Amino acid sequence: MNMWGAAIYAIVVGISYLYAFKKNKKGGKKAVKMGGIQFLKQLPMLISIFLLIGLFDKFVPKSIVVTLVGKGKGILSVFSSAAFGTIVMGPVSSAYPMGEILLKKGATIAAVAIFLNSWVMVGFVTIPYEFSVFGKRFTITRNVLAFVGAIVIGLLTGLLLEGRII
Amino acid sequence: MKKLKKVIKNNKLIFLSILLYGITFFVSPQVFFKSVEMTKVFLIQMVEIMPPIFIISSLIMVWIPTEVITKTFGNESGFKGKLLSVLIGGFSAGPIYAAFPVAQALFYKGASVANTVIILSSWAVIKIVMFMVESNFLGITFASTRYALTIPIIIIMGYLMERLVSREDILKELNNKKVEYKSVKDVLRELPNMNCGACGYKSCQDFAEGVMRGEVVIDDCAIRKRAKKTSPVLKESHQEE
Repeated sequence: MNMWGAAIYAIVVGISYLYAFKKNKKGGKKAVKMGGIQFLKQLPMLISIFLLIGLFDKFVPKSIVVTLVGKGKGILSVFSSAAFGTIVMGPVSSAYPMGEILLKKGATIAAVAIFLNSWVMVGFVTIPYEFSVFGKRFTITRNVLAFVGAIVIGLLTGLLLEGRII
Repeated sequence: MKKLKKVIKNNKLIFLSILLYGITFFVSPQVFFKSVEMTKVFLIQMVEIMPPIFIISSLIMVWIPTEVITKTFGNESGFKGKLLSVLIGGFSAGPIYAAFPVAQALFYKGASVANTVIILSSWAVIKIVMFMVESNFLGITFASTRYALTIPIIIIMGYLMERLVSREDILKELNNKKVEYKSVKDVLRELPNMNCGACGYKSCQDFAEGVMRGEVVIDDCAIRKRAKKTSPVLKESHQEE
């Protein structure tokens, strides 16, 4: 979490609080209580997701990805970048340096954009959490669409910037 | 033994991750310690992000009137609603899992499926505060092209989702989650308490006792059946009023 994000959150939460309490004292108190209960209820789920993200991140060696995405040509680089972005998940801030490394190793613009978008939009590890929030049907459809969407965005970015799709 | 099974079943995921970590520890201690280290970073991040997220989502639940959300993000909100959803996501911070509780609250309060997906996706991908960071690493042309392409694609994704998954599908799935009641009192709290007798029992008290004995399920209540289209959370807030 960067400083900016933290600051914006603090401000948003602060203002919401002030407004809530001023407008409706009881409602504000209820909101805090409800938020707390919801947080505690989902805590085990969240902790296990973090454990899994950590494990997945270290399990897939970065060097393999760099070779696959960076030197792979054509369709292989498209799928390996999408697959990698899907399986591994993490804060977006750590995806940028990874993208830079990939570019330096010779990856196409399309592959890097696909990787970035699927990294943040498609979450293999967060699927159980999404199940509990929106149900199975929504979760699966959304993730499939996001996976395809990430590839489309990537290919178009490549087409516009490099004049080629793969 | 039975109890242990239940505990494991309710916390499948955490047991699975403990198991995986256990295996990793023996196979490759190095990966194990690195992963633990990584998880620690995430946990610290969560302590910063998640409490405000849950407070914001419950604030939405408690004091933003349903009509307001429905008007701004509902089916009738049109293109303006879609654009606003992109902006909400864009100005947020934190990864996609932080968006789930907020998007759920908005969805319960009447946001359309399309807009829920748009909020989730733009929350994940479009980070106005991170734009400069991305430009530093990957160049401003890359960053701006990616942003310019992502916004329309996200909106298209929203339209597609709306076609593929209906609001009722989601609510039905979330409503059907098994709720276990500990006592007759718990059941009674969920009932209209009008003693209408439509279920075949004399009173709601009798019906609740029937539920506890397993003779009927709570949704056999005639009034509940009618009200089923509303979300579980909305029902809760009605009772407290």
